[in-house]
Amino acid sequence: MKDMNNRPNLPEEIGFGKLTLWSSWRGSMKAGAAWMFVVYLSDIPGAWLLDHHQDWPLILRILIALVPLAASLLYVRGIAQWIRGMDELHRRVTLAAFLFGTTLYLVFNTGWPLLVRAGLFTALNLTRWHLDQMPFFNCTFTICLTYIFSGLGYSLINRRYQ
Amino acid sequence: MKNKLRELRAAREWSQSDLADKLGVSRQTVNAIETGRYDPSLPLAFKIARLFKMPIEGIFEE
Repeated sequence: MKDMNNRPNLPEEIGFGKLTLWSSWRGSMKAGAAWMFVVYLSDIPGAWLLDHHQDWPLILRILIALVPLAASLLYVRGIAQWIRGMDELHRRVTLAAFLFGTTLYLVFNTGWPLLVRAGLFTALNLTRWHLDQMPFFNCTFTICLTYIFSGLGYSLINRRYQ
Repeated sequence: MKNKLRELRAAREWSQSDLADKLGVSRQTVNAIETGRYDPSLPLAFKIARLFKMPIEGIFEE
């Protein structure tokens, strides 16, 4: 999915490698951000609906539960197409960054409950901020954290080529 | 891997951005190749060789 002028896609277009909070809208949309917004908009309301309408038909409840997951997969597909439009150096760095981000998320996802079970947050009195109740089942949380970790990975890996 | 990309580009008075546009890559990639921090793939090396009308081994050396 390259630009009309045949310029390769750049990770900076979605804020990777920059310390800016808001990256370009157009760049983010090219990378499938529309599906990311669908995830954000369907995830928390969907959870609320499932909690407050337990009498709804099972098939409807399953559909509501799976909408954020389906949108997440479409977002990943958009990211993959966007990466295909990069030049070879940026493709290599970005793929390594996403691998870094995904691995770090898995470590975080696995390690955090173990620390909760060990009683770390209770001992440090951090349970008042609900740090022992991280929403790992939440698609929005998963996407945001993986994105942040991948951005961190990009900054670390890309330094080698600057 | 050493290369003569910077000299070849300078001889034609191209900027890194000019060369990047001709090769269909980013300016950072051209800079990384010129400084030896990144070795291009074989297809990109062929593209560079075709652009400068030289054999690959005339541009890149170990």
